[in-house]
Amino acid sequence: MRPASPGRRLALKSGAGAALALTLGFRVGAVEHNAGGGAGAGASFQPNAWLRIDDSGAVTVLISKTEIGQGTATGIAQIVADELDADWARVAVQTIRPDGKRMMVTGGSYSTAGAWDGGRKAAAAARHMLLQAGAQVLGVEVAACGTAGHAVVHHASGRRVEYGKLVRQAAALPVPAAPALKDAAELRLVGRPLPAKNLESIVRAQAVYGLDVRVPGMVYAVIERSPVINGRVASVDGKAALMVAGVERVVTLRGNTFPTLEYVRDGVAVVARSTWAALKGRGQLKVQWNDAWSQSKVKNGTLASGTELAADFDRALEGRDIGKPPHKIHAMATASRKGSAEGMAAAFRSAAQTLELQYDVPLQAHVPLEPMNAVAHWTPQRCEVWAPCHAQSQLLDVLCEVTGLPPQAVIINTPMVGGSFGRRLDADYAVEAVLLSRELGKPVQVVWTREDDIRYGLYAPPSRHKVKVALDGAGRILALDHAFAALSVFRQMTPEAIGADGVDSAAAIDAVKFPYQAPQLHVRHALVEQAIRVFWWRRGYTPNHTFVNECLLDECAHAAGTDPLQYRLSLLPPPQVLSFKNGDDAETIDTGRLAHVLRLAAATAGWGQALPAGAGRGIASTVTDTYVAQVVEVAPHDGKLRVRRVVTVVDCGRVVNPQLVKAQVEGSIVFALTAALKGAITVEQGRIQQSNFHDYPLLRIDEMPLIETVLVDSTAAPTGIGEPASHAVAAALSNAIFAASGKRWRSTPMQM
Amino acid sequence: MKKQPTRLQINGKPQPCQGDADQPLLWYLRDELGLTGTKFGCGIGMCGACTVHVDGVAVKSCTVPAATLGGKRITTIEGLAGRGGALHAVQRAWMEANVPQCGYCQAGQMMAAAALLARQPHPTDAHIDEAMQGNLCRCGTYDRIRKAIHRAAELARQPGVSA
Repeated sequence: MRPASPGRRLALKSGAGAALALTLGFRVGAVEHNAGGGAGAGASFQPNAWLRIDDSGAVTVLISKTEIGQGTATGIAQIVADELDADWARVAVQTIRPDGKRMMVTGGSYSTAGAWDGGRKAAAAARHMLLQAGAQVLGVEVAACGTAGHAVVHHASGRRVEYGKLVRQAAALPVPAAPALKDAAELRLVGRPLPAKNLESIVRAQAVYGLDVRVPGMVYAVIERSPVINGRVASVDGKAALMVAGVERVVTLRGNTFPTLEYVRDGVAVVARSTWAALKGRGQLKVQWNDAWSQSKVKNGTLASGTELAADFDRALEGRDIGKPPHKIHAMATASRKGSAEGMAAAFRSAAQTLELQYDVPLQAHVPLEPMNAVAHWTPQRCEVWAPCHAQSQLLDVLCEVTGLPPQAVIINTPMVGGSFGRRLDADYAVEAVLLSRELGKPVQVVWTREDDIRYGLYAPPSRHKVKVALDGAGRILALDHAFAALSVFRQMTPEAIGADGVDSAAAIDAVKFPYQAPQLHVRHALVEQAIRVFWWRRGYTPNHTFVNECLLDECAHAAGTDPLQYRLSLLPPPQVLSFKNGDDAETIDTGRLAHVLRLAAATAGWGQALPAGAGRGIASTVTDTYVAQVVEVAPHDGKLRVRRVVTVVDCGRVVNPQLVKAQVEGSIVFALTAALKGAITVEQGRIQQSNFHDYPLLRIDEMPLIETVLVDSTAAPTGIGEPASHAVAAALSNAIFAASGKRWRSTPMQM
Repeated sequence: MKKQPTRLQINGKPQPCQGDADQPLLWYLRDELGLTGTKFGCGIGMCGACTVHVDGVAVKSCTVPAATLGGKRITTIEGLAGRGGALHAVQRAWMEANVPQCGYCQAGQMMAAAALLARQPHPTDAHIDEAMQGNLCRCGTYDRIRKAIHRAAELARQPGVSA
């Protein structure tokens, strides 16, 4: 059996692909560019990369972003359609295929916000061209016309020409370089709670998710993967599997070597005429794995485990065994410092009170409800893939390397995506499908089971934080020393993203972004390497640092004998924009906006009002580029505490679609409560210990708190909402449990 | 000796089911009949993405062999809407309440909700908790699901709405 293998090409990946990966799950640096220059010809009008109008008047908004349940396809279409003065009913939205030009990656809660600038300009250009074309057709001056309701209208006479009738003339006109945008007061679609464009297709079950893709001649593959990272297939006995009715082939799949950008495990695929036959065949496989190979290569004698991870975090924080095999621990690096070492020491000497706190954040899995899957068909001339992923440009690079085909021969289709939360930025399943398709010479659908998804996934980066705080006699923070140890996404995937100073800016930024007054502030980290894959998880590290910062503020408030809300407000500098260095970039916090969401959340939740005996409230906030404050209320229920209510106030600038924004808030709360209350991923002997929803449970409908969400009315540019409302929940909950019971949780899952 | 196929009735149509006696209904629907609206989520009956009706009762199709359902009436999400595609009260309510996010679990959610309303036309929150706690939604649409079920109960009482 010749193993199908990505070979060294993938392992040696670098250059453009690596640079691309830097943007994953974080702010996308590049603004969408309008690829179009010249206008399209024929019976459609495509002035730029953002939209197409055909002669029936149908408008298609072409997006490089992927709809993964976060509502972005609808939000972007709303922005574009509004600027175009299009009839919403005649607007469709379509995710493009990666073409090597327009960057396709969806993450960092930036998709809709990113369209506010680029999408509006593109639509404005189209509208101005249609306006000119319409004036010509009507035989009047451009200035005498306007656009409304999918048509150019002559104000004086009321005569109108539909956009569809103007596509030929408009396409012949030059594209204006800097078209004027509509005044905000003229917006008619932005701000409305329109239903998602894909709503009816979902409700009628007509939406085609990755797992629903059917291609003529397609076979189904289920893969038995190496139980440990970098384990190798030692031997395969596929006889019994081949006896299962419907099983066609047993194929050994040779993976590459972790750490790398796109890691694929060794595996043995059972290929069959139905999913069930493949599943049943996999159950009959006898595979011997060479774990020793992984031991010698990855951890110099040890496989990843939870106890070892904790011990490595302690070594890292204590500065022991740095760079000494078998541990791979990097030296402590300073991410930011306000004040000086001497000032810090002096502050602790003069402090009225000091706190030494340790917080722990475990591994978590993404578990989108649709398990990983992809269909691929690789012939010698071309490779077509249907992959529910949202880093299509990176997948294109990877598949060009794997197949040796030029980008125009690699076609990547994005079907409906059944959730991601970051997981589907990585498309290992698509690489598997491509390798198997080459081996079989036909289209193959690779289906991961839930067990595969949980065992062979990528996980939220775990971290341990040691925080020392010096308070003065009034309880104010004199000094804050925040040291943390963590697994690093950058170290594993794109080590060149680590600064020359050893700082992983993605891991550190949300600790650096501490807006409260602390004259001495030191944020530093020690990165640990273990054979556990970590990845963006509704962002990444933001939940970790928000948990730490917002719990420690609560602990300081209680130490100072001050109300936690008043404590925060008293330490927040007066309204101003604070800037924090993030690698070569900077992030900002407007303390006025932050104070506003805190006050409003408190007022909405009835902060300070009496609660029944045994109940408690906790408050926390988070700023990415969106401002979120949350109040969690817990109350006794059947002898335990229960989350009764979550109040959220969001300032995400101008709200493009309030029902979609609220949906993201509601979903983020459920996502965060699941992590805070339900469980964690653990690893022993290199093997993930959880496998399905019985041991990695999710929050269920009967555990739902009351959810109340307030959106701040704002005319600022829109900012993201897919992730931010998930970040402060754990801290607000920990603070509420403390208020109710006096019990302080500094790790999750919390026992109620 | 050739085995006689089991006769199933799916969305009102008779369907012969032959082959592997262990094959769960889920895979029979998806791979043999092309009814991909019923989703695979966990394979162990813990997420509810594969919920269908068997004789009107919500059943997790990933854990029931198709061959055991001879003579049973099976309804999938594709069969929930009425004649001419008229949406079921649950589907209408799901649209009014803008329930779905990624949408993957929603077929199972709607089937579970429709089965609840069929036996309990006036569900309380406790009824909803009991009937829906076996259906997971990772996107966290539970709040809207609850509202939509109450709304579907109202819609179902209106004339001309299938339920």
